[in-house]
Amino acid sequence: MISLKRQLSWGLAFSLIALLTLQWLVVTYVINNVIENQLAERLERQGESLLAGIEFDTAGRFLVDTKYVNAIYQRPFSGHYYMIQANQQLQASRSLWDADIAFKSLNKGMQTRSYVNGPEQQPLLVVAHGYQKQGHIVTINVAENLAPLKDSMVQFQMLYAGISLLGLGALLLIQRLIVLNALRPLQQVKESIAKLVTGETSQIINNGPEEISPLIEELNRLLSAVQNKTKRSRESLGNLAHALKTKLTLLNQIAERQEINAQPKIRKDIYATTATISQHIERELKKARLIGDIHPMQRVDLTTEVAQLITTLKQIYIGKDVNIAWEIAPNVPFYGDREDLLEMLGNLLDNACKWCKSNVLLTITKEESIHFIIEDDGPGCAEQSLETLIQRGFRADESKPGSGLGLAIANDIVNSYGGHLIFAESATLGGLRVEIRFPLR
Amino acid sequence: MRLLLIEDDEAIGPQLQTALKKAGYAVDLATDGIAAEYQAELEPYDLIILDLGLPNRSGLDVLNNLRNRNCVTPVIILTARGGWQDKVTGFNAGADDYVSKPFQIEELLARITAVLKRTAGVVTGDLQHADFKLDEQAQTVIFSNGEQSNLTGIEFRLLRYFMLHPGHVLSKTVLTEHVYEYDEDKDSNVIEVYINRLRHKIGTDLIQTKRGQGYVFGNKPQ
Repeated sequence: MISLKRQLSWGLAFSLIALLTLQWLVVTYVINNVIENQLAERLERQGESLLAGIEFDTAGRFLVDTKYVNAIYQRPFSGHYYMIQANQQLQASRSLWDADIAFKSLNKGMQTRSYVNGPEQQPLLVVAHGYQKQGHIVTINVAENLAPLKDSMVQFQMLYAGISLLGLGALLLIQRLIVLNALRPLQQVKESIAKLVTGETSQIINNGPEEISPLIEELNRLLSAVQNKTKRSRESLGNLAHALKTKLTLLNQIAERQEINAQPKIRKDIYATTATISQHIERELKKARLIGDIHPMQRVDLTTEVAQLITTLKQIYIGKDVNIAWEIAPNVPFYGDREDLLEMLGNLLDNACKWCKSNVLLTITKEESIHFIIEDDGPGCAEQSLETLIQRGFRADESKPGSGLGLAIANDIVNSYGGHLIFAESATLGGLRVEIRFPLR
Repeated sequence: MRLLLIEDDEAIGPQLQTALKKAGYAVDLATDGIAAEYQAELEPYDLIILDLGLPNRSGLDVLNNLRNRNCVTPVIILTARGGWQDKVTGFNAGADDYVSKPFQIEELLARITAVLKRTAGVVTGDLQHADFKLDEQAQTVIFSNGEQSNLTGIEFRLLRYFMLHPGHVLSKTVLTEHVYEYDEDKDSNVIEVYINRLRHKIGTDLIQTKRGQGYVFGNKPQ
């Protein structure tokens, strides 16, 4: 996957390095060139000065007037040399001593510039020029040792490279900070989306920048549209359920009319039908609650909710004298929706209360997953029926009231949380044991 | 026994009122949340049947307000909302029972009887006395020797109220309030007539007159 941060960092780093290297090369080249040109010009002037000191005798031999010769040409291997040739006579500066450098003789008006190795391995720049004086062709070669120049050039290059590297480092650092800073809103968006998934928030925080702000805005708009749609459809489903159940009540009332007293079969059939329809409505309503919705993953205080639920159940079964015991391991982290929890435990505990003789036990523990265990001392369920209980019980189309609708709803909820239901015989109470296993978040 | 039925559905309300009357209860019907709350506090009802989806004020608010003002009249919630969260909320608010729509009248009647007996501190089951028991469905008195005696509507209401409050001194006003509906013609002198008829059917000693105070149901202390 392409990473913006990587791309920006590398792109900026490479272009910076390329730019600084190019700059270094150009600057070094230009400075080198300028200095050499200046040197060559100086050598040429020296040559011209020497030319001024040349005097020819009648035999055509020449002498160089020492007045015109700089002292530096007298010291051996001083790094400054000259050679003058005219009419087969070659005269070299004293500084050259007995060393020899290749001499270039040139015609009048010609000039060359060359690099040769001089005495003591000195790298020399030789400027040769051809002149005409008093009717004689004179070639003057003036040379200078480039080593000190090259040394200071290397020094300059090192210094320049050092400063460039420091600058590069500083720029890379600044650039990295800029990239990180520029991408911070993306990190916030990422965190915001993570919260969205867990239901801690319903909108993505929009802190810009300009480039991604419209994108987030659009996403948020889409999100709230979806949320509104889900909410509206759930509301209208709720209203539909409410209206239908009210009408079913009316249907029951019609079945209870005096005219039907003599027709108990009709009354029974109507009752059965309204009960079935009501169960269908209930199941689908509960399903719709679970579909297309992100569970608001808030931490639910199990003790409070369970206590309230059990108080309610005791009230419902007040005539039966049911003893509901419960035990919750401390700090069991259940993240989810309160309504889902109540619906799931309510249905299962209701089932247990319905079938028990007098004892129901709810245990909540945490191991590698969260376990809700509901046991009763009722008739339980035969081994081979346990499987069918799941199959049959989870079909909501049974006409007998209380035929497993609650189990089906509980199963739907458990599944939507990625958990599962396990049925077994209770070892402690002898009745049915239902265990819910939830993965830890 | 006098009930307040709070139900806004135009069809269900009156039909349920009729069915409850047939079962021997004096029933007033209210359809509006705010009005119902006033009525519940003003009149001495024995039980309130409360629909949750009411206009102007939700049933849950009505229940909360009543309980906050220390009104202890038992309440049965009647609602199309069958979720456990709604049940927990309802019972938390102080409901005594919860019946989901659609319901069968028999079921509702059974719940009403159970709540009434529980509130009166009477053991659940048939209303019984040493010599006879009251068949609430048939509205008849069945004696231990097998003989039966049919009761008229008011007689049944009176006897049930007496049997749910044995040993209490019940004035004519109290009896009238708990036997008649809000808009019924109330003549407390008629009560005397009904009590005499009842005495004739179940035995003269069982309902004693406390002069200037009212009547007491139960055997005369030895």
